[in-house]
Amino acid sequence: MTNEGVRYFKNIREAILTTAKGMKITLKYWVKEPAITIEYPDRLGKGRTAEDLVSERYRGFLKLDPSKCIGCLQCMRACPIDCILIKVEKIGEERYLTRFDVDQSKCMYCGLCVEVCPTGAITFSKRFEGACYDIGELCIKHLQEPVSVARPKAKKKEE
Amino acid sequence: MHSLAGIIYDFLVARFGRSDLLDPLFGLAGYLIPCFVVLGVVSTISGLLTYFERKVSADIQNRIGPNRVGPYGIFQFVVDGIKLFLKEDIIPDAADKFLFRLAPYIVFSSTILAAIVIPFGGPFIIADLNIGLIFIIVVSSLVVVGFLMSGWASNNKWALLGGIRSAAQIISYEIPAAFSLLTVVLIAGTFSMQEIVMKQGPWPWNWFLFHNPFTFIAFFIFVISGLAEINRLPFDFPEAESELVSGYNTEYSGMRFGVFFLAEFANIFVSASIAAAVFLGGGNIGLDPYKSGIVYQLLMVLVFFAKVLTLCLVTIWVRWSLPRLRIDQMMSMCWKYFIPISFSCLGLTAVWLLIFNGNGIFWRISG
Amino acid sequence: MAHFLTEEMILNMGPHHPSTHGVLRFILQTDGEMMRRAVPDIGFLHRGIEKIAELVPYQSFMPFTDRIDYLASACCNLGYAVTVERLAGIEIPEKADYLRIIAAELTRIGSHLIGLGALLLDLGAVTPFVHALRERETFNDLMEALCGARLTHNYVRIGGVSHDEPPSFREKTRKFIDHIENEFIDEFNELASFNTIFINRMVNVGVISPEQAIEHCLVGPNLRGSGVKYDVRKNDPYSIYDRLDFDVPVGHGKFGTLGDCYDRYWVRVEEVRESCRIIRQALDQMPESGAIRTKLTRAFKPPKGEIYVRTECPRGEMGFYLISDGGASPYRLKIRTGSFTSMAIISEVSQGVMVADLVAIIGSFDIVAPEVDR
Repeated sequence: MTNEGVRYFKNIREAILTTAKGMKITLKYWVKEPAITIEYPDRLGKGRTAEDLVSERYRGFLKLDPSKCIGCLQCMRACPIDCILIKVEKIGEERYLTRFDVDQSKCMYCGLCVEVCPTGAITFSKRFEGACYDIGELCIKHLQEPVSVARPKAKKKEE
Repeated sequence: MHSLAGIIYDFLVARFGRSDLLDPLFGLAGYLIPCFVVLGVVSTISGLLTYFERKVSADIQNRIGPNRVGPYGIFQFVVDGIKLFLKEDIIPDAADKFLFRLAPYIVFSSTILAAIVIPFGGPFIIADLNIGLIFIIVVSSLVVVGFLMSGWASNNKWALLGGIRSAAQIISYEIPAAFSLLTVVLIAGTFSMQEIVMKQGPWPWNWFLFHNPFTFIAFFIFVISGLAEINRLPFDFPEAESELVSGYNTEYSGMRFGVFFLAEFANIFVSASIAAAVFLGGGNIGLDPYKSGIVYQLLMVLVFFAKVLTLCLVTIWVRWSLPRLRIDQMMSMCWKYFIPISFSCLGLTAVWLLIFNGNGIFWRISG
Repeated sequence: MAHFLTEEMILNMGPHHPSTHGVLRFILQTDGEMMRRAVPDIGFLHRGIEKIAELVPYQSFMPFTDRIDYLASACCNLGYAVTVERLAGIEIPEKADYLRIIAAELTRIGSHLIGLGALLLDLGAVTPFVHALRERETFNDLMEALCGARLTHNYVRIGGVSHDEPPSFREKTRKFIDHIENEFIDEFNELASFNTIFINRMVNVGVISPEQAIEHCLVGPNLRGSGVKYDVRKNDPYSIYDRLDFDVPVGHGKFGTLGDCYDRYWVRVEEVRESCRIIRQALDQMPESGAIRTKLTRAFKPPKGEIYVRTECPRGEMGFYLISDGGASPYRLKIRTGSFTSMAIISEVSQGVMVADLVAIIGSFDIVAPEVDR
């Protein structure tokens, strides 16, 4: 038989063999392997919330502990896209934080603000579900009323 | 008359008496009632197949698949259908509106048409035509008209490419499919579907699949060309979504798209039923389909559907295992491999029948 | 029928086409299925990252490097960090070096998994793609435990890395690479790579000769697929790649011609194995504890000067050309990416192929559209 003819039948054999191999693998998955999907968001299992799905270091929405904030504005400066807005005002002798807005719709969760914070006032929460009807809702105002600025332990002041 | 139409006709005549006025009506009813029943059954089964497709693909891919609507999500296809009905039906401005509207129905009806001669087991066959197999071959190539029509009428280049691809593909693969069916006709000596089923037996060694080595090959050729004719992966060129966006149905939306979708799955069912009836003994359980009791007749239906469902699942399984061929490779596969092989199968079966006096390879046990 | 008159057709593939891997447009000049030419039309994803670099401080630019190539953010991070460190002469702690390498190589695995899977998806095989994504999920979880993000990691910092390894990170990583190396790749090959249909789709399609590849400045796996043994990690080592032992897989015409789509594909498969080797060595050599970051001054200003540093990203050489005028932000930052150069050769190799082949060619280059436009 010529080379052509040998190749003809070799092609048929190859096609059948490799197809059978592939189908064996898919059959294995079909009958044996269980699903690994998590049925987010409503069937996560008893007592589990979406926040349990993510790891310890997860970079979710930013949260603020106003009692720790010293108003150094470092996070505001570190933010590459200016999504943090802080206002520190002097009322009488005390310095007050009057505004601490984080626009989560702009935030890219890079973590630079959390890193530079000297007191750990601004941290990540595990919350990641940001869907809402109005994008303005995502601009989170962390302070409802002015809070006096925490005294930094170190003397070094920014303002 | 050995068919459902005949049975219903006889029943109506027995019930209301024979008269010249009512006779044509009874005849019409005899055909129309089973037609509507079969239409409903085939549509439901195609819907169920979409469910199976999603579920099987999910299982293969470590996913869960539909599981919300009904037990195990089995009514998902109903909800999908309702959704498609509620969707906006968009007809492009530049489309040929008449052909655009017509195309889905041509595709669907030419698919369903083949169901007329499918023996669903027992006496359940709408019309036992004496040219049944030829009817199937003829009707199933009508789909091309619909595909081409939709591709052309959409006035979209991707759709046009899809339509032309489907024409080239379906017409090419008609030939090996027809030849492999003809091997069986040689053995059975008839084109009538019901008789082909009755010539086989309940056990695997009675099936035409194992009649001789060549029918065995012919079966696989038929199944694979069947895949090509119904545009399933690895031959889904007309709608190759990564190449042609969505092929001939790119511009379709709403229920018009749904009809295409349904036709595709109805096609799987029809193709699998032909394979099951012709090669795998259909609903034959070794009893006369017309003279046995209703329980046995239903058992025949059950056997038939079990075989069909298995074949359908294999079709789905193949789809989720293989990549797509290229159009020229698909063509060369048809013209260089399938047509010569199916042709030689036909010839060699004839030789076999001549040498072994019409007996199969298992003739000792199958008697 | 010697002269069957046909008419050419201009087809618009993209910007929203399933197989253009992002927002990318090709203008196809076709004659039915056969293609005369495909002209890429880029720029849909231009976000002006190079300009942003001139506006933000050096440290603050790091998150933007994530977005150059979102499938391999740690590699891009590493490239930028190495550039600034070389310019400013910053020494970084040993452990940070190892953590960087582990993150970068994990990212390379994750990126190649997507690249291989997406190519198969373009050729119609959905299951291998989903299986590859399943493995990538483990990688995502690892990176999430390490740095808190799944896609845009922003893990590397100028002068170190952002987080130390989390507890049981080493065991999990070892388990992951063992699984990839011993089980997943073999199964993936059985299922997809050695499938006759797939091989027939890939071999002798989009052949690029070594000379052609060098002429068109192809880089990374695309260059190595043409048989040119060039890997920045070997030829111009950065970070600690010179301490690690690994091979550079090159194409050799496994089933067909040298430099066809299959060779480029196969180089990626082999690179996943090599990355596993690198990670294993890095895990063995990494010190148990130690500093992970050199603290920079708050207003970090590198000295005046300019530097070009190239690093090996999953899509090839990523070069950062940085000019500093001594200010707080770069005077100019030019980023050279691998996908961009492979766009140029597409119109050349796509002459006379079929529409379906173009899909395979684009897939085999493993193009990420944002990397093209930046």
